[in-house]
Amino acid sequence: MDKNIFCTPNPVNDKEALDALLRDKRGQQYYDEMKRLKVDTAALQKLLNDTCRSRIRTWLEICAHCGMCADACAFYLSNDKNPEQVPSYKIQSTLGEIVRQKGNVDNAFMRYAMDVAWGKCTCCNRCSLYCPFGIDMGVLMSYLRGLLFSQGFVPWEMKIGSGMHRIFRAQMDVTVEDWVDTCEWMIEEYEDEWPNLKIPVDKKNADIMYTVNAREAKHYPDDIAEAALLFSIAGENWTVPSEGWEETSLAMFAGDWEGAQLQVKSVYDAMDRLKPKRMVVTECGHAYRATVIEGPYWAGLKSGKTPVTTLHYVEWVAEALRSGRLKIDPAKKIKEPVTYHDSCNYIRNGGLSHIGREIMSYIAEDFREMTPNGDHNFCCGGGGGLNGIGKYRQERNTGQKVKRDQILATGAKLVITPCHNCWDAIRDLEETYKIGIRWSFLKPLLLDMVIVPEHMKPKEE
Amino acid sequence: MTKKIMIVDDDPVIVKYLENIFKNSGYKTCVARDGSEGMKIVKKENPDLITLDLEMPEEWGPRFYRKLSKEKPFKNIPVIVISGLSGNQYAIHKAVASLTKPFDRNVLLKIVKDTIGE
Amino acid sequence: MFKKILFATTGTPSCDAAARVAFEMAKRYNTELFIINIFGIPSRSFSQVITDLRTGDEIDLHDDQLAKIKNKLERRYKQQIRDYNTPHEIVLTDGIPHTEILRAARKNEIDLIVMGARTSTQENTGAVNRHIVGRTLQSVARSARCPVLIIGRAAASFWGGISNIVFGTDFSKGSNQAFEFAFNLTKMFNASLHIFHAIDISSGPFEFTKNQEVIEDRIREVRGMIRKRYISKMEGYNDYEIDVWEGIPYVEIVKYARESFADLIVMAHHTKKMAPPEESVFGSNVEQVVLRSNAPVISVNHPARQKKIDNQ
Repeated sequence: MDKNIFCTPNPVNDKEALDALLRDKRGQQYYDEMKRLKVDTAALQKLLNDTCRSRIRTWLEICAHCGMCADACAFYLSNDKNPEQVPSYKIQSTLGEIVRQKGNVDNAFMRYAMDVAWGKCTCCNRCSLYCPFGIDMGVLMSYLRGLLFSQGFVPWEMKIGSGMHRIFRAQMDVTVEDWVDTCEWMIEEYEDEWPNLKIPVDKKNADIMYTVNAREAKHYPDDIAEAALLFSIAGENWTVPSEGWEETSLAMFAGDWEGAQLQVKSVYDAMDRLKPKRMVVTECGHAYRATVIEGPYWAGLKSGKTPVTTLHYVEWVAEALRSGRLKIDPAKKIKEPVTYHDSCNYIRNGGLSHIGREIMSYIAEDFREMTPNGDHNFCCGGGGGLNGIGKYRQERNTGQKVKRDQILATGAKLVITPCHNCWDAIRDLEETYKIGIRWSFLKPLLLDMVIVPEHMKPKEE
Repeated sequence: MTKKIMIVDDDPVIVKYLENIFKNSGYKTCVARDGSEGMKIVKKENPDLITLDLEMPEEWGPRFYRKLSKEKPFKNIPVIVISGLSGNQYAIHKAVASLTKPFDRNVLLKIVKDTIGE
Repeated sequence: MFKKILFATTGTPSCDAAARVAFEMAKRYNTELFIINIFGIPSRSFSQVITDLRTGDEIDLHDDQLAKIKNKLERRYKQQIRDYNTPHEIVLTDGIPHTEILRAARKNEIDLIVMGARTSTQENTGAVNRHIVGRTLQSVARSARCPVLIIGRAAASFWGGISNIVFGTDFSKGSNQAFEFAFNLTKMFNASLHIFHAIDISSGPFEFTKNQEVIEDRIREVRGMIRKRYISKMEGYNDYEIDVWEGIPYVEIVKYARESFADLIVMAHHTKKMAPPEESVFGSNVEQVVLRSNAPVISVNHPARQKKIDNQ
């Protein structure tokens, strides 16, 4: 039998291995190799002994199979209430089985578990809200992913994503130089219209340290410029770190605990180095969850909190609007019907569902809520890394039906979503289902509406 | 009276080929190797029809045509564009025809005959 | 004045006319030529799968694929590359087209970007959905630090050289920069400069548009403005014309360009903001001119790079 080259329990730690893996078109060889990847049951058992604590064991045991979680799940609803999509079934038939068998499972089982862990769950945690025992499905699913990752049973794109973080400390191949250069570029790009625009790099003791999603540096640099403009308009004393600028964590989605720790530590190191009063993360849901909710535990911070207070972008926006540092021109408020999609990662995991409503009250004249909404909002369909996984593309598209119908019911043609992942998913949703909607982050909309202070305007001749 | 055709093209092979076609059909010919030479020859020879290449080393065909159309005595001389460039029918709107190389000699001769007679 | 030209192409027939102008200019003015093709846009979130901008198919990023695309591009421009002696470089990348064009222009200190205005009509729906079609031109023209030469129609690609330059002004700040650029070009090519303004009577108050006397007073006034603002800066260069017409500006300038045998139209593209995607992508005057004119249009929006060139 041939030796596995790509699909092994070892994570990707160097550029050469990463490039080789990328060359394996769509992971064809990778998935072929996975079929003969041996489960190291001893290692799995040891990992269970070391990490499967009473919380997880208890949750698995007290689950009464009552099915209250079923109707909470977008995938269950989108798949004609297929019983295999009931969350409790999904976790019991995978993680539950591994624990009960004490790691004594085979290759076919592990591949089944992978299909469930990444292809049937976005870790949106909506089902946990309806569980009479409060079982946190996000934690269970993430734990399952960690076990699978440790044995090499992880979707190809996730393996790459985790490798990116390990090598670049970013989810894409963006180096520190690329990042800083992009900031400089954006200042040049905007200097005619915004002569005083600055993106201060590595400024110590700023009020705000701002971190982003690598996609902004790679594909959407205007997003960085827009953030800079809004900070400037609000008169913030802010900075970006040259290192530790990337706040996302595909490593988290991959179940790569070590990679996730490396990534979040780079952000915390930047905090320690620059000593900002607070940190603000861009419009990205999972970055917030990784850094604020999970990160402190990965990094072993006893407080369970980030080194400095960390806000999601929506919190900063709401605060700036509330305090009047950003002033909206009443004539420029959004007039058309508009709806708002929250990222699960900062509502059910971060408790920020009221913030979106507050923002909409300042900027929209005809805000239409989806039903249900807030803490009960449905996932965009692409959370938990599902957006990027080719193997489960169809599962993702099917899962989006619930979100599609929710949006349609509002009658709004504009969907605001302050999350990169949701933004992508809703764009894809339009591409698949063609329901005639537009989608936007908050930043460009806010820039259209804010009153710009005199000193920031270019001097006209 | 024998009609005279002016050939504007920088490719000697094409020039030779066109000369043969026209001479065999009883026309007289004269030649210019690019647009800038073209005006001089026009003034000297006063041709009845011009075949015009588009891309040439010094002056391109449309530029020559532009100068031609400014000169009252010559501005109505019919022009046939013969060029290998894509979209050449858009180059000179008032051209009586635009042919793409390689072209059918019979098609060319028919256009010439329809335009200035035998 | 031009040392490095960046030709942005989709590698489809819709860019053939622009290619003709790009290669011809590079040859004639002996510049370096960079050919950039953004072959696909990221389509699966963070993953490496991208959507081919030509076919709409999902493709993967790897070396073989890149070699294939490069080969295709070289075949398309085979003859031009063969006829062409100064160095050229092919830049292949995935990404959001306008971002990558601007990034490459900045990185390579490009003096002139050349691009077509029409993206191919059979472009895939993914690209349409993502507001790529047409937006690329608008975004590049708006943000580029160097002038952008746009070939809207095949008819604009047959001039081979420049001897008549039309400068269309609306007296904006951007127009000052456009003038500076147009005048420098005029001197460099030893060309005629046609300075033109159209008085917009499509939207003025009724009293204004109804009265020809008033319009003609305004024309005299504008001619004076042109002398004061532009002719005074021309250091005695006397191969110029001033013309002021009334009408719909973009229609008049196209007619004027035709009448003055323009090889090139220079205008400022000072739209501050992108037009909302649901509105016409070709909203501004410049874009209207591009789509109608028989001459290439150079859009000038920023002074920065240009100043640097002048100082050299």
